[in-house]
Amino acid sequence: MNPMVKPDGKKADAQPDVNAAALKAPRSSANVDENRPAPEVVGTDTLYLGIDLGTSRSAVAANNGTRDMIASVVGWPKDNIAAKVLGQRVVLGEAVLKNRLALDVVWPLADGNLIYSDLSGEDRERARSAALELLIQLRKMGRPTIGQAIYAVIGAPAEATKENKQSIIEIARDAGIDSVMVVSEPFAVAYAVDALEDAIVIDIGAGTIDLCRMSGTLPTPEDQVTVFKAGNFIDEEIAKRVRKKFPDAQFSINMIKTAKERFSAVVDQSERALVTFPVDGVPTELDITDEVHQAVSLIIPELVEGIRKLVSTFDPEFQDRIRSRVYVSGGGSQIYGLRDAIKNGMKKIGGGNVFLVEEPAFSGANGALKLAQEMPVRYWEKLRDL
Amino acid sequence: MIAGTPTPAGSNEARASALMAEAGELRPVADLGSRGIRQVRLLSQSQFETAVRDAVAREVLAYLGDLDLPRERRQILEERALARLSGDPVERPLPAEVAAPATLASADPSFDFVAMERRLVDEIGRLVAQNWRAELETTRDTHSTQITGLERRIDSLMRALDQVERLMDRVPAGGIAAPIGSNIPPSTGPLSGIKNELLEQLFQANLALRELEAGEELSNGDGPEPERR
Repeated sequence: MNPMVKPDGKKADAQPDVNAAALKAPRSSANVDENRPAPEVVGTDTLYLGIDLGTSRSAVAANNGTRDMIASVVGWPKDNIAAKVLGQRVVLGEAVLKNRLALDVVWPLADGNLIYSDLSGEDRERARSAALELLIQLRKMGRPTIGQAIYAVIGAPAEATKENKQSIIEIARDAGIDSVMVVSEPFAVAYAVDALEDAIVIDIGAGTIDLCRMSGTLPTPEDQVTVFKAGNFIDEEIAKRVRKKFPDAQFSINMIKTAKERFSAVVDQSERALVTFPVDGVPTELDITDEVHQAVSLIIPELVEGIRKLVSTFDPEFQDRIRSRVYVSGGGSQIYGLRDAIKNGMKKIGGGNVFLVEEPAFSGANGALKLAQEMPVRYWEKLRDL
Repeated sequence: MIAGTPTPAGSNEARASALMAEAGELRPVADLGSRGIRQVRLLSQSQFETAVRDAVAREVLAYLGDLDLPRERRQILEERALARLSGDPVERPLPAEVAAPATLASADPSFDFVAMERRLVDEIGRLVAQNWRAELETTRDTHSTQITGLERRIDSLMRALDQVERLMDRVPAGGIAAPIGSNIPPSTGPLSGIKNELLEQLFQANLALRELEAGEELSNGDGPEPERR
């Protein structure tokens, strides 16, 4: 999906001054005035954040107990009337989806990466502003107190490029986070569940499915596989099938996404997926069970192939062990019956055991927070001062 | 398996051999092996007879209370059975009623001694099998109970562990009274070594990322020094 395309198909309007607005937003003392020296960081006055920056949703976990989630979408009112009605200069999260007709909508991430580093000109500025607004919001959701230093570990896709990781660091700093580390998202999950050796972690998101092999060291590119058939792919496949079956039905991709989350089923079809979409303007109940089932099942072969690739290139002595410790996390892992479907798929490659992690939607953020808290303070301080 | 030797026809041993030949089943050793039997114990005929006598003595003691016998005869039977089992046989004669089969056998040549012994062996076999089945059922029940108990215990421990982990996530590091933001004490669990190594590696990777960025900025002429906060 091109995040720069407005709902009405027109080119984006003049760029809102989000950087100025961002500076007005509540920030840590370190970022209010760039000329001030870095704050004296005292061990007891630090807010640690774990952030899972996702294509569809982003999650934050903080050491003060906060757990929160937001749709990774930003919108600016199209005109003064819309701004007056909405009462906000910029809108974030689910509110954007509800009011999208009055907003210029930007999804700052695609396939798990910040898109602005691949763009140029006005599009780049707009996408960067959206990313900044999102990071500022995530920081606020961590409920920092005035003067508190903020150290954050941010999860990036397994195959994020060096440039993308640098973009995340840059944006996070601008968003008022004092010290930042970027970590591979599945590694954060592995850290959360202590699956640090002889295990495979699968993080199912909207843009990507990240598979990561853990062997007691920081994963290298050879330890990671990214599959680009994830939640968004499933949404499009469902839409394609529903459009074919009910040519007169009117629906948006967001309506499909909601339906999928309600009815996702890989194995069990006992419950029918009934949705009410308008047909020629008349709300009509439609049965899309088969369409959801078929679309969701499409991700299994590539997932299993990813597992096979990671297993087959592992030390043969430990291949059985790694196959028996496959952890599935991320929002997509909540698809009913997914665990059994992967387990069945793995029979072709010698079988194995699959575990669903607890709090799958927060597992990346929880792992990132755990890393942030266990990281020695001297490391944080060193990175802060660079 | 019983290995016997040829005995004179008509003697007790000959009758016992005939009984064994009819009651038992002749099988090649290889056939037993294919059925999973790895070892066989060889018993001589006398050992087998001793074992049968002992079994009979045990059964007599077990069922003596149910028999309608005069006190004196009951006592004699009990003494003989006990003596048999203690390995100190006494030569006290059996009462006439109890010794009747032998008397009958010697008195009546038509008495089917072989059939009577077979019935006796069958009955003993049935009792032994019953006893084994009961014991097997008891063992199975006990194991099943123990496994169910262990599963319940594992479940409750897992739940407790989950609760502790959730609480640990929510409690500020350093304990309830510690201010928010204090650092978690160094891990001392079995993964602590790996974790420390991973944290070091993660820091180094992020440091390299910063240095790379700073180097690029320099080469792009973005400024004389890397950006400092």
